[in-house]
Amino acid sequence: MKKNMNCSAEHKKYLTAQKHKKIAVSAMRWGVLILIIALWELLARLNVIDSFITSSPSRIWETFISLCKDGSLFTHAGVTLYETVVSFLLATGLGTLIAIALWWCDTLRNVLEPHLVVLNALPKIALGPIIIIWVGAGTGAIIVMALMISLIITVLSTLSGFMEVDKGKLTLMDTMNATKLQKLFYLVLPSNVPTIISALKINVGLCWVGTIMGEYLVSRAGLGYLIIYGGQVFQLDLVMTSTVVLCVLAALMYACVALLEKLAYKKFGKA
Amino acid sequence: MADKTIALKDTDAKSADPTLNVSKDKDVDVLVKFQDVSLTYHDKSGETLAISNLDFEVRRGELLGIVGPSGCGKTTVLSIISSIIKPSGGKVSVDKAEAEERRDKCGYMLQRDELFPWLTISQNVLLGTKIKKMKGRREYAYALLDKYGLGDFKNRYPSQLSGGMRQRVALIRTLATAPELLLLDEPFGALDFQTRLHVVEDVHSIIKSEKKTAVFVTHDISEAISMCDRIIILTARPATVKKVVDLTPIKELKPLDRRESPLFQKYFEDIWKNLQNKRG
Repeated sequence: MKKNMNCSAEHKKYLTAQKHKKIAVSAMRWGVLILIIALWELLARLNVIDSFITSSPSRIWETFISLCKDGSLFTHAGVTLYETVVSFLLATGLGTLIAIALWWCDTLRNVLEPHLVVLNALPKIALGPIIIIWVGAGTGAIIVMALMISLIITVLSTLSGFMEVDKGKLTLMDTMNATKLQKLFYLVLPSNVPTIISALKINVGLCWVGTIMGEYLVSRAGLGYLIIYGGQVFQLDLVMTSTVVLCVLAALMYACVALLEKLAYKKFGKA
Repeated sequence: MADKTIALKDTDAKSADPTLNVSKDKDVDVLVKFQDVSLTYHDKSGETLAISNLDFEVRRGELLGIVGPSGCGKTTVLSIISSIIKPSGGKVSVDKAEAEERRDKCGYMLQRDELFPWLTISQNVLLGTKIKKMKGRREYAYALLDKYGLGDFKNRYPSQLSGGMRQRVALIRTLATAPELLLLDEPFGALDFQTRLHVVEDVHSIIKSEKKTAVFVTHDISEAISMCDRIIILTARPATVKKVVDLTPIKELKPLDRRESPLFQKYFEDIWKNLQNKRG
């Protein structure tokens, strides 16, 4: 406020213009969303599109309410959320630990790097049947599935961050006679907080993919199960409702990580 | 003019016989001693003799400059002093300490300040003491910050400081571990010219008022003349001592005043000539 008090009229004008622009963009964003929903509803009501196949916003809302009433939505959404969060945390934690091990031991890194690259290129979904046989058709298999999809990329991206630590700062640590453990905790990990956070951001998306794919294959519970089931019995209302809920949950989780990123950049961001 | 010629003649005589670089005078308190040190690098394309028959000493309390053609191994000499690199031959001692202890006696100041952006100034300054697990150095480090005009910036982050201030913080970080010997590896190379003149002045006065011994490596001749008590000129690879220049006549002057001194240009030309013609 203080700043605005003693600025020129011209600058004030500039600031107001900027503000108006921002409001306009955000209004248009919501406008596009509302327009699409309204158009969808309208076309369904006018029977231009077949709402048996396309569903409609009002039918999605009804399904949503009835699913909420019998509580099944919460069970299924809860299962999916649980699987996603667990695999997300595991992928990040294990991934970082493996990256530390590979950073620590040059020989290990040189030996394993090509294998990791090949594993990364493999479409992990192909391992689905094997995982179900090995782990059993249940939550475990789904978590392993999501883990497979996100772990390797976490290891690779975190490791490349570790290897790119500023050489000058490493020299500084050498001149201070720092041990490898000290280098890790004083320099390598703190300077890689942004790298790890950006790995988190990628993992959020990948873990959702892994969980839903896992639920498609295992088909016991969860939003993925609801979608597959709805498709099989041709209940497009159920498919659409589950998809919308999924969309909202994924967006919320992403927003959490984005917030974490903002906080971390404040402290660890490059000067 | 007259006294300057004498000074130069004196050192010319020394350089004629390399063994004379090492003082025979028992009264001189020697902190670092290089005796016949050599270093050979190995890589895929073969082996390179980087340093050969290097003899010199650093006296306690002096600021010794090392200049030489680029790539001659000036930085390597510092690494050998602090035992980050082991020489292939010869003997090195710092206050009679053997290899591993040597690193604890030395404090480095590098070309860039290398302050950690996620730590505050006070945390940065205490980094070395934490890594060396030294207790009770906080008071001393804070006193240094206060003394050299950084007291109000303890809780700021490096990005909020100017280049010159950051380099002063880097020096205090080095001093906080109370090293016997400061090793300065082109510590002003990353600064612009204006800032550099001031930081040279600051660093010189801090080193002198804290009564530290320092070895200062640079490719900038005028910087060496404005900072040092003695300058060793190295030859191109394999590096060995070509000449020692004694700056005693201008020793008491501050860096900026030295640049005004009539002797400054003479020293400059002398060192310049010695850097130009190759070995021998």
